[in-house]
Amino acid sequence: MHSLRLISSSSTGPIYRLIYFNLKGRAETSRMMFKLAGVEFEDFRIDQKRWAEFKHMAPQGILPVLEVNGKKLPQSGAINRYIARELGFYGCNNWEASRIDAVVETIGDCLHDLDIWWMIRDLDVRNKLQKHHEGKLIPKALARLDQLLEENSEGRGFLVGDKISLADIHAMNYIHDYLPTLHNIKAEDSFPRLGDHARRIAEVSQIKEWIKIRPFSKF
Amino acid sequence: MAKYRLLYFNLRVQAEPIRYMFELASVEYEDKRVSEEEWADMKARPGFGQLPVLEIDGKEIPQSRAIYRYVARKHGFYPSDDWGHALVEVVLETVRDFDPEVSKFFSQTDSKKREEIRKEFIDKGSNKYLDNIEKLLKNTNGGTGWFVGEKISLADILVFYLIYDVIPSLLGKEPGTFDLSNHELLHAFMKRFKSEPKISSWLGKRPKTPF
Repeated sequence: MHSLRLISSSSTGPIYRLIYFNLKGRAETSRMMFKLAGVEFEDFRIDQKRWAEFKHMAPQGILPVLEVNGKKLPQSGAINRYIARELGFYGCNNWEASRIDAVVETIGDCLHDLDIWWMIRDLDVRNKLQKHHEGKLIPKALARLDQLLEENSEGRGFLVGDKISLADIHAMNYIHDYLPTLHNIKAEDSFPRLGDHARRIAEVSQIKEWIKIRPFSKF
Repeated sequence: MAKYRLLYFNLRVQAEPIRYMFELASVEYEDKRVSEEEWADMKARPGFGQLPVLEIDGKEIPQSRAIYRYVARKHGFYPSDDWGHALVEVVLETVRDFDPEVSKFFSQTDSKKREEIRKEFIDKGSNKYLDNIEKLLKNTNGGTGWFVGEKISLADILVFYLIYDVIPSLLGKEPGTFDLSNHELLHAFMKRFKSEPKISSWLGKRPKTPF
């Protein structure tokens, strides 16, 4: 079902290009915000095998990178927040922004911990760290998100404030996609409210449509 | 005027950027250093169960980086333009990339392995991070001023904190003792920041803590 969407004309709005691999990973939250706001952007996906040819596009040698009228912004955390502020997904005051930050940072702590052991070759060490990550860190993080959801809307609305924000989209991607795919964890088993929230956000029409048509990638 | 209460252990790491900002902006705050017993009581409460926490007129903000941003927005440590704001975020995220090194080190209980991590960091790792950070400094005024824009921002505070407080604690050394001879611009930046009157005054009077 099509809904009427206002698409920003590239002659009046900034020209956005989001550069990443053909993955969801660290770019998907940004892609969804563009889609949700009906703002055009170039979804530039680099074949990982050809990374060396494209590395010059990344000021810090890492992806994702957001280009805004040609100016480059690296670091997914900075990109997510820039887009959230520009497109109205960062709450309506400093207090709400800090609650959104609390969600994003809680998930960020898990992702940073993943960076520590994900590439470790020694399987004994890796397994030990993975057990800690999946058995302790993730449940703790989910409990915090659940607490925030409960405090905000008794679990029936959004994570922060009374409209969808960066926090909701980022949490949905983590809970709905990342956790089952990467860690074989179904958050809704222990946190049904979070599961419901993730489902609600995934059902928002523009997000639902994007999930249907986006290029396929496992991660 | 908001009543601020910063709750953390009697340590620098994680809370110190907040204290730097309050000191620089001459904002009154209660610098509450929580004891082990008090922490045991707090952990039992439902809720976030972690420190630092910033209490503002009875409401709480958890998560160190959410607090950094809140205080920075409130007290002028972000530039006023959107792009400058984003550039500060880039520095914050770049500094954060260093966190796995810290966790790797502190989660290692074998002292021999710790020494190996330390040595590897000094010989190789540190340059990689510092090169990236110095590159960012160079983007503004050729690296002769502050990281973003024309005044001190959260970016400057976090880099100073990383190099002055965090890295030396990793190496088991006193704050401010990390050798920056390979990074002249950063070295000059550290001197510049440290000589800000409110910073040097705070460094002189803050409690001495192991990290």
